[in-house]
Amino acid sequence: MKPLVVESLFYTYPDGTQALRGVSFALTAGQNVALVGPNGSGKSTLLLHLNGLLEAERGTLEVGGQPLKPQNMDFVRRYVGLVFQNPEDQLFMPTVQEDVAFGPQNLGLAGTELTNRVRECLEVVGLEPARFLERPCFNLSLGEKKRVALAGVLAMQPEVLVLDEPSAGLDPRGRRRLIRLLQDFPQTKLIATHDLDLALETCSETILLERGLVITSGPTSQLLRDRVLLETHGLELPLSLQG
Amino acid sequence: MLLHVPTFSLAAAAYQDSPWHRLAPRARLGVSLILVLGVAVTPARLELWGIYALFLLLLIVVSQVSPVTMVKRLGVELVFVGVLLLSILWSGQGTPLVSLGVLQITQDSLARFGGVLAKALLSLVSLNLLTLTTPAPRILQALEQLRFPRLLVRVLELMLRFLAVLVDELGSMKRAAQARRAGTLLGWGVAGNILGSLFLRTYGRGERVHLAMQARGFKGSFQSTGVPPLTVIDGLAVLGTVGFVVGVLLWQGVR
Repeated sequence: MKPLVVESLFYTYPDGTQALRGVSFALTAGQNVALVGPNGSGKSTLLLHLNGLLEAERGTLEVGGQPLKPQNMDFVRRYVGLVFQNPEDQLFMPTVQEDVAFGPQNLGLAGTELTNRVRECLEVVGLEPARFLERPCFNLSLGEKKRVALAGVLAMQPEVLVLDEPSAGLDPRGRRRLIRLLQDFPQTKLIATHDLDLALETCSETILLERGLVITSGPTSQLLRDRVLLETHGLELPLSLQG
Repeated sequence: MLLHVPTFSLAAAAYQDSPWHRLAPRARLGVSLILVLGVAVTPARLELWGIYALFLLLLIVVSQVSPVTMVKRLGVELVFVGVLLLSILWSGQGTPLVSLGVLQITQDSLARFGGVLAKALLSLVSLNLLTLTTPAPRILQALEQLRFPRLLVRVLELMLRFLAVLVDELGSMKRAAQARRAGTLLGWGVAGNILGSLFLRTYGRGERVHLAMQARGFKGSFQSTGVPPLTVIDGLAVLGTVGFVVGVLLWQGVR
């Protein structure tokens, strides 16, 4: 079973902007896939569909073998964990503990099971629970906020992890730590990013999106070496391959 | 109290250890509110205020709050409270003490002004003691545990959470506008535009936060967090405060 199947997805914003114009792709279990493309190519819009936050105008979406329908939404939200680009949008509870607990609480977890889940997830993202549980969310550095946001999504134990620009705004050390985390996570991952070096290090496959269309997809190591293709579509070779 | 919202949960005093800090936030909130209520219903007499002041002083000593921090906060707060109370100062009838044109300060109005100011001061000491020693999220959680409407608590939490973000955004927009102007002061038009943009950004952020909440399974209602039981010490602290307030009232009634 493929954890995520997208078929001919169309979406137009209320102002008439056509964001997706027939996007199709599928992820196989355990696969790490990068979604690259210039600004305005429809990456973030596509990601919002995968969690049922935007309703497709046309096309079908299958999550964990089930079609995306309002009746399946509980399952979909648990199955696909979406990490937003700006952690300020995601961390809304006053303290780290409460924010990481928000998702599992919505799944019905409570008591020591909930506390343990929160602690485990903070440890997974490298934040010491003793130091961070009681910290107010607004008082964290951007790197810490990003990791708390990730912990909040991991706490729902998703099968598919969808990340929107995970390395944006991180310093080199924070970025390196993120790459290591992404390499360690066992989940199937779809990572929308402009950081092509990150894509090269973490993803085996890459999908190139432009103006709401999948231009091409294939092994990252081949696709991200194709200078002509990348430059034609508003990108450039990853720094590590520029020699 | 709201003047300190962006800073009060960062107060170092919130994370100290003392018998006062060991009380559950609910009990601390209860003690503070009972004291405010007590101050409000106590007749305006100097010796009664003295007893309350001594009781609050005792709490300050026990909680190890820095008197300097307390005085600084009171200074800011009293300026606001004082301005609000000015109408009392000018409104009295009786023997005039000072006349400034049509405005007169009389003996009665001065006494009433002093009385209300003293009550405000005592109440503020009590509330500052709470906000200096209890992180803001814990105060809100305590409100929820005391059956304050949950939705209202969430709105207050969101306000607290995003106030710092909005202040940051306002600051960066102001700097961006100043960077493209010769003078340092912004015109009314620019300031209006900045506020308009801030409103739109707030709206946009609200939408995005809601999407992020939905992504984590939010279905319109907040799940309740378990309420830890109060300890005997918490109960004694609240009952002791009630006893103190009632005792002061009875004592003044007997005299």
